Amino acid sequence: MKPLTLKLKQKITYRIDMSFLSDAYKYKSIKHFMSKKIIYGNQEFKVSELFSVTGNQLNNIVIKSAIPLMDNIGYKQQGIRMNVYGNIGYSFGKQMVSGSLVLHGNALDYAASGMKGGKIFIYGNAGDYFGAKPNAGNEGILDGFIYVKGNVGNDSFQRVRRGNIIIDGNIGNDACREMISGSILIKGSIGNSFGIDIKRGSIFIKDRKLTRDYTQSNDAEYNFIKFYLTQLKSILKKKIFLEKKKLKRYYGNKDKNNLSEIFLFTA
Amino acid sequence: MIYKGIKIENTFAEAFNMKASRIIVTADNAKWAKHACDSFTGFATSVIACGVEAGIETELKQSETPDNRPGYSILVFSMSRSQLEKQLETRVGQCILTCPTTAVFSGMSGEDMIPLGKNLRYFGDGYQISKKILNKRFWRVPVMDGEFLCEETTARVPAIGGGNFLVLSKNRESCLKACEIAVNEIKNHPNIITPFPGGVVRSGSKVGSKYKALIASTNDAFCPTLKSITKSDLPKSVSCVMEIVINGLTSDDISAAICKSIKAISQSKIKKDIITISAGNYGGKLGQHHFHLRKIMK
Repeated sequence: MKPLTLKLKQKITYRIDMSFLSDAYKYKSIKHFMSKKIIYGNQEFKVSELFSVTGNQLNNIVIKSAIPLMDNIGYKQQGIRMNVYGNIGYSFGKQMVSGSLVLHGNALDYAASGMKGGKIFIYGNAGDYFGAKPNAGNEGILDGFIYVKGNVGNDSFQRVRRGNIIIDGNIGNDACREMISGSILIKGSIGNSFGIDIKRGSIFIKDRKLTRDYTQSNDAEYNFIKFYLTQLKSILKKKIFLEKKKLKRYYGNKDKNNLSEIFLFTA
Repeated sequence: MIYKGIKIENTFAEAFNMKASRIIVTADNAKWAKHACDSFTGFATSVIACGVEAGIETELKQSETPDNRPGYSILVFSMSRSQLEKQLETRVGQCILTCPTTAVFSGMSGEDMIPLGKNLRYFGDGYQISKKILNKRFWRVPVMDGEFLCEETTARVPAIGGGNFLVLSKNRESCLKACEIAVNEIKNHPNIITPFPGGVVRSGSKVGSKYKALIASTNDAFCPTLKSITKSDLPKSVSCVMEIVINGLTSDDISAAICKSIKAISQSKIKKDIITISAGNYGGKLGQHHFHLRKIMK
């Protein structure tokens, strides 16, 4: 069994909706999958007409030489493992339910928007509205695990309800607005207006300015931290940047509706 | 049948279907994890009066626990789901939550989940914090030494309780010594526990009693002091009988443990004082599982 590998046969000029890959595992055979019709421009094409396809594992997909015109990769995907090489378009892993998505490149806006579960690894940068609420929804990420090696754009993680997010780079303006809960670890710097109207959640950050309205907790031992980092490390299969860093906890905001906690680390 | 110099009776141990769950208890060091586990598994020898049967399954290395701290895994057995749920909650609440530096996690996965820290979180009086990591939910309950971390649920799986064998010996000293050797041999055997004190029982029971209120009473057939006045199963030379009760997740686990234990006795010097190895049963009509000693030792 080899992973199902797709590569564009020729250069394309219009945007292409790649959400058809999320249903690939439902097809009885490769032959059925290859003859599936997808829309490109204003015409219908078979998958085999646009892509050269090799391999036979319908729940393990590789996209080679991806381009930024490819949208909706991993849209509502369930139980599939997908590896993508190259820079891609909008809505990567949007409303994903389970499985894993690995991107070796950059993603445009709305990646991980409305994610419901599963794991997303982006070894590059992500655009605006990352993990934000989708156009038709009222909540951002509902659950799942996200790792971004690079930077994340503006308006990200709006109304995040659950989930574990690690960002090795920087994050743009207006991030975590109205965050409901969940955990976010940010190695780099944060933009302006971070965490406006935040309700709950745990934020691991190095930027002291965010702690202005909080009270510093006493230096207690948090069993949870060691456990949490161990779990994240086992998911990520590499060291977390917070390991061996001393954390100071800030809890209790001037705004009584804000029950979020901040773990401040020194760079 | 003579196995390496020890007589094995042609009989079987009778065991019952039970439900079991495994939890992992960790702490800053093994000493405090052990304190918590000893407390948790205290008064959990028999479902007759304790609600559950529980014991330490094995000690875990730091690398084997969810939070990379020293710990122990505990197996808890019960006849019913409600009793298992109730006892887990009570024991975790009174013995692990209260013990400094500890945390508790589920030690097995499955479809049938029962609460572990689900209701204990309310001890946090509204200050508890939930964290969900992939498909598992954990609770951080603020306590005076920092935080008590517990997993919300643990799995419940089918299991077997009451696997056993009897050591019939010339004297009490050698009988106890043989049992110690046997228990020591299986103390880190996976998927089993020996729930009685030190793993050994001296008060084996039979079903029923001449007193109507009692459901079980002393197993007079194996009491050396009653040989002259009761229908005894004991040879004349036997002056002491002790039983090792083994609960396990599968019949293979119990069979393997019985085999390992008897083998260990047969390899020790004490075997010269052992008259025979027998097993406890109720005629084969009550228990769903029969462990035939001779088949196991073949």
